[in-house]
Amino acid sequence: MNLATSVTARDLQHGYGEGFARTPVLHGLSLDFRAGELSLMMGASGSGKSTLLAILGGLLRPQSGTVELLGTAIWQLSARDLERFRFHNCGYIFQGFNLFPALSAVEQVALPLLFGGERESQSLKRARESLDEVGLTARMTLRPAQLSGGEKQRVAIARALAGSPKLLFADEPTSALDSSNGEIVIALLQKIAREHGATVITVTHDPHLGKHAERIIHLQDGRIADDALPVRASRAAALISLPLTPPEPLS
Amino acid sequence: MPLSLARATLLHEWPRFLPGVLSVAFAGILMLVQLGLLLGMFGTVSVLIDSSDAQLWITSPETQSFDESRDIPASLGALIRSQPEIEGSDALRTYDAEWRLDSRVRVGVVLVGLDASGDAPSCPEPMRAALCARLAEPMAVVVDRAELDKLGADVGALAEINGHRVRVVGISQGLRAIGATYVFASTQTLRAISDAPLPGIDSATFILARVKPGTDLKALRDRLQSLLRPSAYRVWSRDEFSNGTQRYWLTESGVGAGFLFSSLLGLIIGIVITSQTLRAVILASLREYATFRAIGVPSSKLGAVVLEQSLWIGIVGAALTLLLSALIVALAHAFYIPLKLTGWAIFVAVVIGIFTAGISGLLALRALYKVEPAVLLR
Ligand SMILES: Nc1ncnc2c1ncn2[C@@H]1O[C@H](COP(=O)(O)OP(=O)(O)OP(=O)(O)O)[C@@H](O)[C@H]1O
Ligand SMILES: [Mg+2]
Repeated sequence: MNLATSVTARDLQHGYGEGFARTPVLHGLSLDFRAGELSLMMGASGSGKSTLLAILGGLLRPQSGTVELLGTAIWQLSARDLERFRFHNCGYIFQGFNLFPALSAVEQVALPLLFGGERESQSLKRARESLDEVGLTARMTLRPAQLSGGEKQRVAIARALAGSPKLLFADEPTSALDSSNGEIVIALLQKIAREHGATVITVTHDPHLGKHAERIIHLQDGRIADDALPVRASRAAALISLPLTPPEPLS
Repeated sequence: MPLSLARATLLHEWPRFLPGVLSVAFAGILMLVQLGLLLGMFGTVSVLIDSSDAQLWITSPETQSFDESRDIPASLGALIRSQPEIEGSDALRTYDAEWRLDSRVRVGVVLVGLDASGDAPSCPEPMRAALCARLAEPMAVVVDRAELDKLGADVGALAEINGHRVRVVGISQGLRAIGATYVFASTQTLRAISDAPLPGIDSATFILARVKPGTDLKALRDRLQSLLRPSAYRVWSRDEFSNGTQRYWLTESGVGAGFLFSSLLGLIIGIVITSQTLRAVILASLREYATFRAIGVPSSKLGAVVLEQSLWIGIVGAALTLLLSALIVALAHAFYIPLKLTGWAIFVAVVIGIFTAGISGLLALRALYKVEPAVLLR
């Protein structure tokens, strides 16, 4: 096994419904992911991307097959142990930002740490660092209603980052955003992969995001149709386009 | 203030929680007002016990209530007085009679025969200053201000009780009871009116005793009871007899059961509305909760958030109950409605309000425990 391999999935099968009504979604899928890389998963609607991501991320038990995250076969853990594993190793970003309307940005980010038993001062400190990293230093005290869509998604990313996850799972994190905000978000995810050595697996519909990824996987009817590196030139372009934080508006 | 999702949500989205708070407050007020009316009304059935200066009451053995008692020999008083702890003792007699005034007024009354002396144990507190002594005058009676209209009388009025001419020599205040119209007279007057049947056998409805200060009342009562044989007499402390009388009225009238039933109904409605309120709040944030479940926050931690919210609903609802009850009590007093609230009743209402909210929170938890993080991936 390659040392940097952090996610190993073997023979994943899954379907919804039972008996005659059963629709197979994944047909014996095997995949590896490496730490420090951002992998994009693309494919037509209904091709099984979200299902695969949920299985890889420890949120949906596959009907057969195994998933090893950081050397742990997660689907053999008890529910409580899996929960603990997710808490210590995984971060999640969804299309909807899923922020509590009542909380300020810094509170949103600090709350999971607080629930995990961290002291409040420590949680808030981590939350501030995390928000700094996504470029929201000036927005910490604002509630979701006062934030733009792109800012909300960055708060959600900061929340996922606050627990220093080694694995980050994102399901269409940019599809509720315009293209420039989408670029900011995906570049941020790539930066996280590189600087934190995290494994970032992102489902997306947007072919333009390919230039920020180390790897693009195409799913078709529950099978891998294509698994390739994006063109070198666009990789270079991704590196150049790096200033991640948008310029602060003059106020 | 420490970061609390429960409190932040309550403050930020308070209109969502309003139905729950109002229903808790409503259930509490429903209970308190009914209880207040009950206490106000049924508190009066024991008014002569409560206002007496006698800590011990002796009745016939089967007696359960002030107005349902059989006569006992008045000679018992001598035995009672022989006890060293007893400071004074006398008899109280009641006699059902008919009051007539002119040709218009005909009222069934309860004639209450007392010792015509201000410091007799049987003299009710409101009459102690002057009225009891005034009863010494033959065929003198005292009636309560609240009964004047019913009796058609005023001070100085002449009336007839069972065909005997009586004169109203004074008006008492605060000696009104539901279920009986009391007319106070001296023992001698009562004897004259009731045409005491067998001379020599003097009977009384109650024997009352005032004990010396510092006496262990319970021990004295127990000793007297064993002295008097439980099969022949019953010895009560004043509080026991008062509570027993009120309890008897509550149960015999069926009002107690009605009160319990409607309070329970209010409680159930409160629980249903509050738990639905909390459920709606959970459902509104379902995706946020699901995200936290995905991150690996245990359900129990999120459940604690819901329970904290329900607790706050209970506290605010109970506070609202107190506020509105105070208002209602003030209104009732302004309109002479016998509504009485004790600290004890208010305490119970607050506890029940918080309990209502707590149960609602527990019921609402089911919505939370059903949250599946996989719903977020679509
Ligand atoms: N909970 C479910 N119950 C039944 N069928 C489901 C369920 N979730 C997904 N499916 C079906 O499984 C198939 C794959 O769904 P999935 O969500 O993985 O697709 P996807 O590739 O993420 O699509 P999209 O790009 O539209 O998000 C679809 O045909 C969908 O209808
Ligand atoms: Mg999907």
